Amino acid sequence: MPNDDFNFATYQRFLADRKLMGCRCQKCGRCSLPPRPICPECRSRNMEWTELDGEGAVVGFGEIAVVPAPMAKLGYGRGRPYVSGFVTLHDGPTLPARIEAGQHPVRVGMLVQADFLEEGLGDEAHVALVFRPE
Amino acid sequence: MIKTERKLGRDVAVIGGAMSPFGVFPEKTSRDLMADAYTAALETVDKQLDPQDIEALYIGNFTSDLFEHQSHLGHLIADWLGLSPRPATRIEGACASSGLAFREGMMAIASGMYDIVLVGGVEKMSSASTEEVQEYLAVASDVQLEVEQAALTFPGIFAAIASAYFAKYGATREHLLRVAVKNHENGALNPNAQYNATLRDVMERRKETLQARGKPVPDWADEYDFLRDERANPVVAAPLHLFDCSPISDGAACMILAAAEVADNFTDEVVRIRASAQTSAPPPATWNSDLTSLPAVQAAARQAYDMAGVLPSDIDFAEVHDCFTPAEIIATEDLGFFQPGQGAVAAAEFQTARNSDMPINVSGGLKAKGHPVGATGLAQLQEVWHQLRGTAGQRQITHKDLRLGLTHNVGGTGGTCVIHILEHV
Repeated sequence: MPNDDFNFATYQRFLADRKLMGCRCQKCGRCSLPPRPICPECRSRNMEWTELDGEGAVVGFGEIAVVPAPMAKLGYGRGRPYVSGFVTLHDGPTLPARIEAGQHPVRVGMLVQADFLEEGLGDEAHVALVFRPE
Repeated sequence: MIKTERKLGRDVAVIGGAMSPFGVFPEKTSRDLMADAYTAALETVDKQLDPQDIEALYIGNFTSDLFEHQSHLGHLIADWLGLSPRPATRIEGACASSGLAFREGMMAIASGMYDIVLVGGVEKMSSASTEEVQEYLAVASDVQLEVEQAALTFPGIFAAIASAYFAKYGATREHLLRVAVKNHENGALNPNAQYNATLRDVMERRKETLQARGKPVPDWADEYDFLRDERANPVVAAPLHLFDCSPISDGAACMILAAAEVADNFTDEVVRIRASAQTSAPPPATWNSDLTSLPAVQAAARQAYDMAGVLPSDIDFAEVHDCFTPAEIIATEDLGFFQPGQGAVAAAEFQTARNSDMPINVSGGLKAKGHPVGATGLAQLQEVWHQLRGTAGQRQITHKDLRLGLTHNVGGTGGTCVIHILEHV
């Protein structure tokens, strides 16, 4: 499995295996998620893989009622909004992601944990990264 | 290190500028809208300009490719304006496209290549459905991460920014309502605005429509009551509701730039470009911040004030990029007009109203004037130009002298920022 490329395709292959894999800059230690070839902090190109535990906190979120077509297909819409926003992981990086809190009200600062959700049918079946309250 | 001191090779002035009416125009294409703005702009040149003297065109447009299934817009517009075979370059920076076109035109003159340049901006959005517009605008964000992974929409990202701001500073939706009310009050004085109406007017019209249809008429006490009513102002991405969002618009704007040394041939009221700054930033996830300020804006503001040699307090008025109501509040902080956290208070206390010390978006802003995305940057710039020359009509700022006006034009969710400061010489 060609897992040596620090890019989005590799990141997604790991996600399908229910792994949250980022990269760490060997020069300055900055962790990036998804992995990228050049460190945004120090521009070093020496990266190594690092698995993240997926624990973090909500930085900001919206409850989306006017939904894009793929989410409408999954049954979301004005009567059934979903929450998405930004989560900062304890390991450093911030990630845009859906927040599946059920009846639990989402708030800024709430501690969350990454989870992998199997969604879609047939050709559209995929593993979606979501965050849930800890 | 990035060089911080910047100056133009030679001074550049604005000698003409106008916008087409913004709104929904089913029978007009991008070319037609641009022709409307161009014709109006030519009429604003005090001592007349022979179109033959225009040497090049820079056209801002986000995505006619998606909206009209038409790419390669530059040469079509040059032809439609009768300006072939002049070089015509399309510039794309999402909602900042025509702020960038203005800057490219300015640099082309400053370089010595041309003396007179036409800069335009245009977007034709209304032929797409609301769902399609949301999908097309979303391509200006990080599609792989923000759209495909996180199912974020543009309103969703600004909702996240608003929620972070609320949590940090204790602001609420009530602060956002004031921005919408203020910008619509300004838009009501702008005949080219899509919403040439106050929100109270919008509310009254809604009442009349309901009455005419024999439906129950809600007992809204005022426009705030109207905005708080979920049926009148439905949620788009909480905390943002319909009237927190700029509308879907068709429109164009256009300005004519000239080397300062020839500007006297065209006008005695010279407005020169005092500063121009453009920056990029990563998508919000990589900002290293708490989402309550836009790093591209902070960096561009610093560069613009440095280039002009002025402070935020020297700016007399500004047109800022209020694609969503929280964006205006945060812009007034990132530009240094108010301290972090105070932008919401200032909005709520109408410290940014047309007759205040710091008028913001006297044109009506994107919110009421309309937001044909590729036209917005130049629509802001031509407003500032008219205000500085005292030709802004009913909405002219008259309670203070205007010397320096600023425009703040943002692409996407802060990935591109372009700021200009114009000066009435």
